[in-house]
Formats: sequence, structure tokens, C-alpha cells
Amino acid sequence: MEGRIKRPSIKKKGIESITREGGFKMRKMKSLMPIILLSILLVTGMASAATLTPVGTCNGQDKVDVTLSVSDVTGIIGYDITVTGTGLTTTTADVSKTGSIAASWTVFQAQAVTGGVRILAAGCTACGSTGAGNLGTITFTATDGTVNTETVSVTVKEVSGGTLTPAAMTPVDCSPTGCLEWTDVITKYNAYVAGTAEWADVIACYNEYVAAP
Amino acid sequence: MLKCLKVILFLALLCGVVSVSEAASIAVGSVSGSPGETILVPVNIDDMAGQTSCNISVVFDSNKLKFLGRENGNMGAGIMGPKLADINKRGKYNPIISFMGEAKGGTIMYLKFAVREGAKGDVPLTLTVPTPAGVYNAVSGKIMVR
Repeated sequence: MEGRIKRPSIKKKGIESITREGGFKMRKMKSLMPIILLSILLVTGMASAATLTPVGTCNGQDKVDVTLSVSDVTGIIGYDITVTGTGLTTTTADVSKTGSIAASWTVFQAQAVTGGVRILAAGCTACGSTGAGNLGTITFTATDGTVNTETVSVTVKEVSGGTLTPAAMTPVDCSPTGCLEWTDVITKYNAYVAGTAEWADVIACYNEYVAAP
Repeated sequence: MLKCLKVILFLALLCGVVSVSEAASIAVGSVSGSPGETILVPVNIDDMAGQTSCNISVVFDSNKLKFLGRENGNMGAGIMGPKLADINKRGKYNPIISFMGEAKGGTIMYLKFAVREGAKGDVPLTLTVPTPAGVYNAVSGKIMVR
């Protein structure tokens, strides 16, 4: 009898029990699988739903402001974004820290790169922030001084350190507003008073009037 | 009966006082000067009346006066106006004024004029406030040429 390995005996009842319970669990798992998969998709979807959207507005004759709007800052602890635009240039001084949530970032630096700016930020003091906001505004200046006659397009090329998904900026048409006479400025001002124009439109109109020969 | 009349009169007077005190006004000053002299004419507002901006118009005789520009008043108002050449060609200065300070009233700005040679008598500075309409009483001024 020596040398024989004595296997542990399993009672028939025990085997039946395991098989039955295991089968039940598998069947239950199968029935729950769609719900589990849906939950995973939902969680993943929610995590990747946050988008970084550059919003452009004309700022006078040779400038365009790009505000980086975030749909949700939940879970974001830093980012590295490169924003560029055709025929545009900018400097680190043109990056504003006046965004609604920019103040919560301990580091907010920018370095000029070819045709744009690279923004680096990390380590927020208000981690745990949620909701939408904007990270700040970058002012781009046209190298050829013709922003007012061309369509400006800026895209976010790189995002890291968070779950932000970059989106392309809706092109801004900075064509002349036709404000060549002072009466045009007054007309724009009256539109502002009537609620059909923004104060920025009045300023842009005035700037164009001043720049006109 | 007499007592009743007195009460009515008192109430009428009170209403008159209240209505006068509610009327905000923008006024151009009256200043005297001689030909060849540069004159500063104040433009004052006694109450912004809840407005954040306005558009005023000062019309003058460009044959007798030359508009040289403006100087800031004590309200810290933001002012943008037409180019000098346009102003003197039309004899009209109609800037857009933005009330940025916390002051309720004060001097919005000073208009700087040069009295042209040969000018005589009073030269009206006719003020209107096109926008907002009906909010301010516009009080015109004049330059009395000595």
C-alpha cells in the first residue's frame, strides 16, 4: 500500500452540490452580463465624456482670443496641451489665468511653440472639483496682420494627465464688420443697448473704425 | 374745507419735489474765453440713474470753435469717440461713455476747445442724449467769447 497516493474522497453529494451551485452562479452571471457590460460602458463613457473645447472670439483687428472650456474637471489633476493656429503666433504672456477654474491650479505655465503655445499645468489645490469651467484664455496674434480677413482655426493637439478629450475649435470668421465710419460704431452701440449685440462687438467695431484710414 | 385744501397742496408740492429729485441730468458747462485761448468745458452728470453707458452729442459751431480733444473727469469713465478730423468737420462730438467707476455722479470729462479768431458773442454747446432715450435731462452749455 506504500507509494499509493490517497486522494481525498469527495462525496457524491458534495460534487452535486458544487456543480449545482456553480451552474446556478454561471447562469446568473450570464443573465447579469448585459447589465455589467452596460455599466462598464457607462463608466468608461462618463470618464471619457469630458471634453476640452477651444472657443474662439475675434479680439480686434489682428487678434483672436481662444478660451479653453472644459465640460467636466472631475478627476483631472493636470494637463499638457498644445494649441496652434494657422498663421498665428502667441507668447507665454498671452495666456490668461483668469479662467473660472484656472485659479485652482498651482502651476499654469505656457511656452511658445511654432505657431502656437504649449500649456502645462499640474497639481491642483482644489482637487475634487467637479463641473464645467474654463482653464483660461489665450490671445493669438496674426503674424501677417490679417486675422480680420481670414478664418482662424485652432485645434488642441495633445492632452495628457487627465481624461479630457480635445475637440476642434469652431472656425472664427474675423472678417471686417464694416465699421469704417463713426455712425457704424454708434449703430453697433445702439444694438448693444437693444440687446442684439455684445459690448465686445462694440469694442471690435470701434477698433476697426480707429484702424480705418 | 380749508384744511383739506392745505393737505392737497402739501401733497402736490411733495410730489413735485420728488419728481424733480428723480430727474437725472447731464450738463455741459458754460465757460468764457477769448479768441486764441484754449478752454476746458466740463460735462457733468448728477446721477447715473442705473445706467452703465450712454451716448451723448455736443453740437458746436466749428467756424467759431475748434475741438482739440478731451480730458478725463473724476468719474473714471471710459470714453470712445470719433476722430478729431471728423468732429471738427461735422461740428459734433458724440462719444460713447461707459461708467466704470463707483461714483454715482461727477465730472465725466472736460471738452477742450480753442476759440477761433474772429469769434464773437455766445457760442452754444447744444447737448442731447440720444441713448438711452428719455433717461437724462440734457442741459446745454455755451462758450461766452469775450
